[in-house]
Amino acid sequence: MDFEQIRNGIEDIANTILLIVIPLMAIIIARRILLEKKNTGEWNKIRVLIFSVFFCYIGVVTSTFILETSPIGVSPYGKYFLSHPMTILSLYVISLGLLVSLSNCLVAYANKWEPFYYTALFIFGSMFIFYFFTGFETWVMPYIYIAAIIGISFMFITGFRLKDNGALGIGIFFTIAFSSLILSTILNQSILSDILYIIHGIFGLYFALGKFQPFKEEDIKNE
Amino acid sequence: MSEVLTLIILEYIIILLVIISVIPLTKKLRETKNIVYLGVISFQIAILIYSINQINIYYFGNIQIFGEALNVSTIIWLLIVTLESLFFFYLKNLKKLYTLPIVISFFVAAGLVLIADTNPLMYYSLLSVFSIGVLLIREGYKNKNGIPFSLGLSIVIIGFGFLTNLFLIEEMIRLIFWIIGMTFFVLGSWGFFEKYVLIDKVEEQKIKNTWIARLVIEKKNL
Repeated sequence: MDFEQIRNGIEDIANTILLIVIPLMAIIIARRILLEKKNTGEWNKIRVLIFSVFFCYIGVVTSTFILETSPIGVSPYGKYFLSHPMTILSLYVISLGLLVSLSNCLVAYANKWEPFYYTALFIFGSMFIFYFFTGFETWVMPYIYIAAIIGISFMFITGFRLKDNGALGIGIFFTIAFSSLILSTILNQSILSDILYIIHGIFGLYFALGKFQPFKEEDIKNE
Repeated sequence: MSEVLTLIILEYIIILLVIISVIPLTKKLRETKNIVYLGVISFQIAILIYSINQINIYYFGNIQIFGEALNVSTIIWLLIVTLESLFFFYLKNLKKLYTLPIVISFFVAAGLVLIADTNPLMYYSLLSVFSIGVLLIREGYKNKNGIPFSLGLSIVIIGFGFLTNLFLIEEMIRLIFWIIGMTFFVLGSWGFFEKYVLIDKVEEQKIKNTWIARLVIEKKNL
């Protein structure tokens, strides 16, 4: 067994784990939202946004899984529509773009910055319309990277400032995911990125089960 | 030469109309400190800048084009559309939509830098100018307020002028439409619509009743 085979094996394991973990996380969060709706009679918008973020992440994970482990990913059309990073119409880019945009909306909601509630979605939507008129899509990936950095940074700031376990958890979760993406695409470090990918899947499950609580409710109440 | 001179004179008329309309608005802004007036004044200032830029083009004939088809006039037009949309969103307290016209205007401008296609600009202008113009007219009519009413009217007419210019590339038609639009706005800012068109019948009846009551009391005292 050579190095390349080991690397591919780890990559397959990471992709398979995430394909199970992420939908599971979405289901857990959806269940919590429904329970809260039943108890309070109102939708918790922050939780709905968190669910939407994870729902979009399912698209990212699925497209990566199909592209890297199935024959569909090898075909040129499959590659084009699933996850070619430079194509705005691919499932991968649509899901990732929506994910980072929604995470920015989440930050705006958590901080009650009303004029910025939908700004990220407006920008992403405008990019689509812009693509249909001009055929120009070079801004999509830089937008995703910039929006991801802004989103993650503000998740941490919001998490620490408001002592919000949800924001901090998502911040950590996507920091690991983003590091993995940077390692694999920019630095071409596949094995390290796959290990990080597995770690963030495990952390995701831990977070979705509600076990990640660095700020205890009693401490917040006392403060 | 005579045609250019006519265009310049018409642009000066627009500038004059803008100045006439801004005078009562500035007074009201000073008295009430209401930010709505500031929004309307900035909208008028954008029109003023547009006209000054057009005069500059007529005089020197140099149109600065960025990329494929973006020029200074289009940038100022996008500013006008953005300000008008922001004014409406502020009036309706739609804070969540504040950034929408800014984002769209940015992408329309960027599109004009990349390709020489004015279709996105046309669709955007058509949609925002007519929808928001009509909504402002409705808002003004409902609240018997002359400012949004006249602003809506002038926006629709000014927008129509801009679009005909985009289609026919005929400056004269645009200028005539803009002068008509600005005249409506001048009338609105000086309170013409509130006095003669948007008459609040309930309020008028109340005033009449008060006068009748006062007259009756005075007669009794005599």
